[in-house]
Amino acid sequence: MAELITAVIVDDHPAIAAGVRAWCAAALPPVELIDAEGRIARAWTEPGASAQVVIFDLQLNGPPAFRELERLVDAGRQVIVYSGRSDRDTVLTCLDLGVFTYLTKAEGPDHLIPAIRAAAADLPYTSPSLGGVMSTDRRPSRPQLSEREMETLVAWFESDSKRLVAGKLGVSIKTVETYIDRVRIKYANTGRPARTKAALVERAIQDGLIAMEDLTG
Amino acid sequence: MIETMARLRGRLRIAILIVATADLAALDLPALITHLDVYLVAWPVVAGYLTLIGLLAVEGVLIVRGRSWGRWRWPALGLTLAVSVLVNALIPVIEVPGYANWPIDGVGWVAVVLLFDQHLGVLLGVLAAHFATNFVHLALGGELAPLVLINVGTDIVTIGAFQVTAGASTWMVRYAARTAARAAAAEAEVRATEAIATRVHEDRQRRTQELEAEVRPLLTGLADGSYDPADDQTRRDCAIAAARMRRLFAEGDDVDDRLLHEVKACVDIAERRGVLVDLATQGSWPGLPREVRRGLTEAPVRVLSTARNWARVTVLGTDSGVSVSVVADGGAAGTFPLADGAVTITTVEDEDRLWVKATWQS
Repeated sequence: MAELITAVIVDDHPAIAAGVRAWCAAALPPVELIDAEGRIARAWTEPGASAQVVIFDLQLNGPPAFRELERLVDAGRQVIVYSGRSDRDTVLTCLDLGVFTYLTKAEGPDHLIPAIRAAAADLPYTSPSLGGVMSTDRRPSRPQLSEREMETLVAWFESDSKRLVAGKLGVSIKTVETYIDRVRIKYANTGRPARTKAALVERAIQDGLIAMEDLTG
Repeated sequence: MIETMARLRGRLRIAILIVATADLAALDLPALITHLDVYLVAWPVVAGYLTLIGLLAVEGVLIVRGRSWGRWRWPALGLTLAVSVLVNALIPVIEVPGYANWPIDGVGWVAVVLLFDQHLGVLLGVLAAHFATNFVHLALGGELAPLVLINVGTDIVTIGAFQVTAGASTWMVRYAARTAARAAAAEAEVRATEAIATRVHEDRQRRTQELEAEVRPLLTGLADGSYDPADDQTRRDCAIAAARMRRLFAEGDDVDDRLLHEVKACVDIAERRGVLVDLATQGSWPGLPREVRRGLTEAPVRVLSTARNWARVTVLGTDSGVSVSVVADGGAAGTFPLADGAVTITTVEDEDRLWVKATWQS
């Protein structure tokens, strides 16, 4: 993708914003980053308003900003939550609200940069921490996962390496990616409807990643 | 406080024995000797008296030895009541209100001695039973004239008042001793909690200082340019210092999770060696027995100990069980036990990385 991707970061820690800016600049091709300096309003006004991806720190000097997150998602923004929290309830709530993906701050540029690119292209991206959360989801409303999908998620969470997962399960890296992405699509198809979720599912069906009957069944 | 109460109890017991002995020796013995001809049969009355004296003698021995009657208390009490009934039966009914009826106070004092430390209700019951024998005797002999009843009643009220007061005092001392013991235990607990809190605080302070000693030069070095942020070693040092700070801040959470605690301890050791460790946990797990915890951590920890630069450690709790997994770089050598009881070990090798996972199926 030759087109330059733009992202806006809403995080009240200047060090995080500066670090992410450095990662974006070092990426190939680079990602253009706008720093909202911890103010959500700047994601709604130019130049932040036209950024393709919003990198959102869930906790801006207070409790998780689910309301603001919901508003961004409802406006069709592709939001990557980049948070210090990794507890299951918070992650699953964000997922239900329709965020594009969830990364913990322990996850560095190896996950954030690919996540930004995937968000700009409506392709799923699941970090190991998100995989760990999905694999331990106990809610009755959770999507039905196959045994293979579950094994893949667990191994992805544990190893943080698709090659190791492939080696362990005796499949190709491509297959590992397919399993992980299918789970993400199944999650996009549950809970509160959101435009961002629909886009993810639509793209997955177009690409043949998942069939309609997998989602309805 | 407790010692004071114990001493007080001991002295009270001696005092009651002295009162009882004085009563039997100074009041009851003359009454017995001067009325030997009055009793229907004299020798069982003498035997009854000697029995009571004998019980007091045993009490004296027990006090000297610092022991209590224990379960012998109840047969002794039965014997005392038997003496009460027997002697009453051998006193002619017209002598019941008189001087010949020495057991009317003597038996009660022995009961006070035997029921030392017991609930006051027991003593009241025993005294009531004892005094009742006199009335039963009067009733059977048809001697229920008001004057007789008043005489006997007066005796009972005056004697009983002393005996109940003595019994009540022992009971109150016991109650006070218990309260004191409880207060002392609560105080000790508070003191222990304080001591632990102080030690935890000191330990945390010490580690904060250690951390500061480590972080300060790093920050200074970064500020004055002597450390290059682009340098891998600098980055690693910063990451490790940051990880330690995070853990120190998280220690306020009072988590009772031994498995995680042990895993974290091993991570700590690896970090001290300069290994960058990424620890992630997800899901929940029950409190596990020590052997299971050992089985879960042993193989992963061995991999962790051979890590050269980095490692990823995860603890995952699912419906089916708990697993501890370590992926690390460095040519970790050695073989791992494939299964240790309920714990299974899986190993995956990939060029420079080794991944070992221990799983316990619930």
